[in-house]
Amino acid sequence: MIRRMLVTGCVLAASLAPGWSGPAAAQDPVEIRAIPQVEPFEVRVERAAQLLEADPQAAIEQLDHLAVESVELRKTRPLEAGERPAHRQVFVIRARAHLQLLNNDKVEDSYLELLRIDPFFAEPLAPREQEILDLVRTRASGVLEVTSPVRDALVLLDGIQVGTIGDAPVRLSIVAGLYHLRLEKPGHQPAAARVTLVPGQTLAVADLAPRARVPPVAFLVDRPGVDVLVDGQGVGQTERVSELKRTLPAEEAAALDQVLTLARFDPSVSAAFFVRDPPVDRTLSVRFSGECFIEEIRTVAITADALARLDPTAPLLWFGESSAVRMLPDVGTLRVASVPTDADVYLDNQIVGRSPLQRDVCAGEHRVRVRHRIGSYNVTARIVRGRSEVIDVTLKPSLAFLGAVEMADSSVRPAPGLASTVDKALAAAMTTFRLATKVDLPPEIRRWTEGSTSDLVVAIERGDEEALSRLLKLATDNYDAPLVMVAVARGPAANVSTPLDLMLFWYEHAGADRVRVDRISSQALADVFARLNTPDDALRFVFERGLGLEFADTLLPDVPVVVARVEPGSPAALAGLKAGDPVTAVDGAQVSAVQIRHLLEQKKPGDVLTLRVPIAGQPNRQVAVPVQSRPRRAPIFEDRYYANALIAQLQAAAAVTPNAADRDVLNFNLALAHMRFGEWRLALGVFESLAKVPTGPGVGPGAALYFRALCHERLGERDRAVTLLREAATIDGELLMDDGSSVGALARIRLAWLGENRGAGPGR
Amino acid sequence: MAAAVAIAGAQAPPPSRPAPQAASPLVLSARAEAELKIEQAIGHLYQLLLEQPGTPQAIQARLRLARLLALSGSDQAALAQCQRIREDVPSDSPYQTRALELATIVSRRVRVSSGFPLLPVFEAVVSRGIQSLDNPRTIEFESESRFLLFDEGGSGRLYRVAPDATSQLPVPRDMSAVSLLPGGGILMAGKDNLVAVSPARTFTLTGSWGGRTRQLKEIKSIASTSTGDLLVVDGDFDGLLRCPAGGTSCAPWGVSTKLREVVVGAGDWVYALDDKGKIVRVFDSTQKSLAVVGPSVGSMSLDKVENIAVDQSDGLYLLDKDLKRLFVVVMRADATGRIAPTSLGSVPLPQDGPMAVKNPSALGVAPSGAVYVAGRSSARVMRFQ
Repeated sequence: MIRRMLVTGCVLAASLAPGWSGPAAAQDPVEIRAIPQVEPFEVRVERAAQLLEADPQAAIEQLDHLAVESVELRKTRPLEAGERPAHRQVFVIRARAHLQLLNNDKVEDSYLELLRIDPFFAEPLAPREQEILDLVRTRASGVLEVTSPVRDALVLLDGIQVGTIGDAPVRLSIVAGLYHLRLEKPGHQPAAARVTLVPGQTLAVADLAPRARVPPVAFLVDRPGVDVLVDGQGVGQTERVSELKRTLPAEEAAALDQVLTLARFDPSVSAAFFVRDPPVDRTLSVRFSGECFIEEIRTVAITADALARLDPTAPLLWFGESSAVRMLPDVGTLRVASVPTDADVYLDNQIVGRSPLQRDVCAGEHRVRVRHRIGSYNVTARIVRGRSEVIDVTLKPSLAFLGAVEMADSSVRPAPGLASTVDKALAAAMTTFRLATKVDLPPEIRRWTEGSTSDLVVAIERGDEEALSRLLKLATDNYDAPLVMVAVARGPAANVSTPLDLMLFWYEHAGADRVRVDRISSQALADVFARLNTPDDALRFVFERGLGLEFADTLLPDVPVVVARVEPGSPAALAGLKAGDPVTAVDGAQVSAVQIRHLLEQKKPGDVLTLRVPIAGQPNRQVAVPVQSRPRRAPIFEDRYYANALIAQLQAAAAVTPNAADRDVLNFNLALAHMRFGEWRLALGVFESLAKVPTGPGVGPGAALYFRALCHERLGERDRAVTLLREAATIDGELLMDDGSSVGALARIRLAWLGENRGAGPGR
Repeated sequence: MAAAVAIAGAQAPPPSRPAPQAASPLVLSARAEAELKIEQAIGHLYQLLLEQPGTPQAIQARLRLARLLALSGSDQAALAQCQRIREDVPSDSPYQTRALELATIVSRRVRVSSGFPLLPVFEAVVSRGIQSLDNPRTIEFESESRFLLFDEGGSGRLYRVAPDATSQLPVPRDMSAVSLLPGGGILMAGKDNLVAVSPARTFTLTGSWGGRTRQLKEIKSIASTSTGDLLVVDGDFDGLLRCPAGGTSCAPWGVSTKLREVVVGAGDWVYALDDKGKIVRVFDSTQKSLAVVGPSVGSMSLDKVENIAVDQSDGLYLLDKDLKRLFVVVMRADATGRIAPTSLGSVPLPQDGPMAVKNPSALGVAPSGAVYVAGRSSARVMRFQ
């Protein structure tokens, strides 16, 4: 968006400064300098002069060359003051040399050039030489007559001051030729022209007039670094006032301070830009632009009339509010919320914070990436100025399929066809995980390629843990997925009967789930991938429905199911049920103990199950027992689950659940999953992070103590293990096993095994 | 990071699971049990279940644990372990059946502890094809629903009784004892030799005692351990003889008194009934005397125990023919390894009506703990459960 401000009139701030003397930035023609010679001109002139005694002919040749060089040079530019003596000398010596040889033409030619270099040459010459010089001067001269409306302007001819404009014309009798005429006056822009004087004629020059210099137009901008374009051409950026002032003449710096105050700009943050030598009687377009700001345009017109009224001492031109540029941000609001929270939020590959997040963002399209260790979400957000764009995402655990290789003849080759087959099967089957695709990455991060997949498989086969770790990191960087999968055909991938290994990794350890698929077919893959979708609810997975009762199937006549155990204090115990009671029906149906467990899983906490528990005299006694939800040690170790997938799911669920107790149960089971891979340190870390695990069969603070002890034992930290087991040995009110064995009992057995507390009974 | 690439999954258990030990918890547990360190044996099995649940070994461990828990008196825990096996293994797994049978035995004990009657249901087993039993001696179970019934009357008859049919098996001359062998074979003792069925084999046993070696021709009872060793009660020897697996030479073992019956129970414990029918001595596999049952059980004195049987969970069943009563005793181990026989109770055998068992002589216990009794001068086999 462009904000235009057209300044139609010229408002001069002549009163701003008591006096000014802007730098005389001349508008000279472009200089074209000769290619530097090996030796300077004057050195060569001196050498030719010295050679004149010894070898006149050679000296004359050199002088002729130097003469030509001088003529050609002066066709391009006037001589500098410092150059002039050497050029004069060339022609004085040359004339003298040719005079010796009676080459009168060249003598006269030399004097003609000498007079063109120095029209007022008056150095003493030999009489004959003076005589010829005078002759040339008389015969070849014309008259240059210079007048100008600008009084007191200095008249310079080929850089030599030859007069001052006054009431009478400046009149010069000089030899004919091409001259650079220039009029200069302080506070004005010089006026220049090339004039060609013809012998015997008078050339009158009257239209040269140095124009009064226009002070720089000052713009105050509320921030540095804003790009400035004048008439469409980039001319720089606004500069912080404090820095700019150091480069300015005192008058301009002082004037700048005054406009700062006048415009009420904060000098500590404000910036300025000067447009120097602005054109007169023509509009000037000045644009200010910056990333994330609305473009501002000022159109400035400085008229000659206005300029004439300007205090010639004013150091700056200031257009009041029109010269004050306040950049308006071109932003909208981006709001990012995620479940779980605390996800890293990237905006166009730059991390900008963590969710929930709200920030102003430049209008336009932006890549937004919400990245959490459980997975990520990528989206292109269109930000509209002044409006809010909301990204509210529930992150699912992500799985990235990295590719497929075939292993044949001791080599590993990418198998793109197989990769495509697996990809399609995954896409069709996956519900629990989000299939991750490559994310936009900053250029410094290496890209995952087919070769990387091969490297990963080689690292697995070789047991190269370091390479594996590095490649897993690269994979997760590329895909933002904590789970990555590769497929390895154990033979030609084109052959459907080739067995296939699917390997599933979690990014923080080297342990892999490896599942063999007997043949490469979509159906076989779908069957395997269906396992990845179970459990579909990690929170439900770590809780079970129970009645405070354990049942057992029997072959006893009329007692198909028996109550195996009643938890003390449970509703079932309060209802009078006891171990050994027969259960002949549940909710009116005859079911097995296995079926009761399945039935319970369909129930919600608070539902009631009605058991028929006959006793003597009451063959139809019904007992209603409420269904409870309680934490459990989930079947993490069962082979029907991918352990790494469970880890990802449990971690994801723990990250999103708002309930601390639920989170602890999830994390308790997550630690067990780490134990499955022998990742004792990881498991310990999770166990130790638990706040207060609610108690259930095999789950609870005591169970956590026991498992921590086990991890320490595995790490060879026996003393620590014993300390924890001793603590656990005092906990008899918490079950470690679902058969009723307490934490205390099993800790005491463990201590006895470790040679501690010898003779301590289990006390089940 | 794990020390090596860890692989988990159905096809390849993860090498990074708990590092292999010198002996697996299962082996350590068996060792501890052999040394009667029952709590330690249980501890090893819990260790396996805690650290490696879901492995095939875990199922074995649960079954063993259930038995040991019952031995240590934790019947409810044993029952829960049995049920967990049923939930964890496929329905066609043999562990399903074994867990259900053990659960039934333990359930019975739990129910008795809660005040329910012992073996309240009795009924006649359908045994078509058996006209009459002269002197039934042994009932051996091949499965829950199929058993061998040995009638010593005449020259001896051996029946295989199944729900749908009863068949008579060929037997050696003057058959005197029968036993099931590990793996399902049948071993029959006759006057001249022993005949094994499946695999078929005929051989004689010799016993060495008193500086002499002689052929065993008066075998009254024979039993096999899980390793194939034979334990023999011979009329010519006052004591028990043990014959190593595959061999034919037997030597005195365990007890030197006149015996009537020998049976082998769980953990290869040997139960030997003395000839007077008053005492049952219990030995472990190293001849160590574990316990003595009798001459009284609970508040009752045994009169004349005719036969004994054991279940798979260290339950001992005694058939007193004079008291017309069936006694049930359960072995319990305490934390120090001491085995204490504990009476579960007794039930009288019906003496009147169509279910009467007037001269009880044969006793067998089905894998689920159902007790089968047969008597002389009757074709009836009674089941108590």
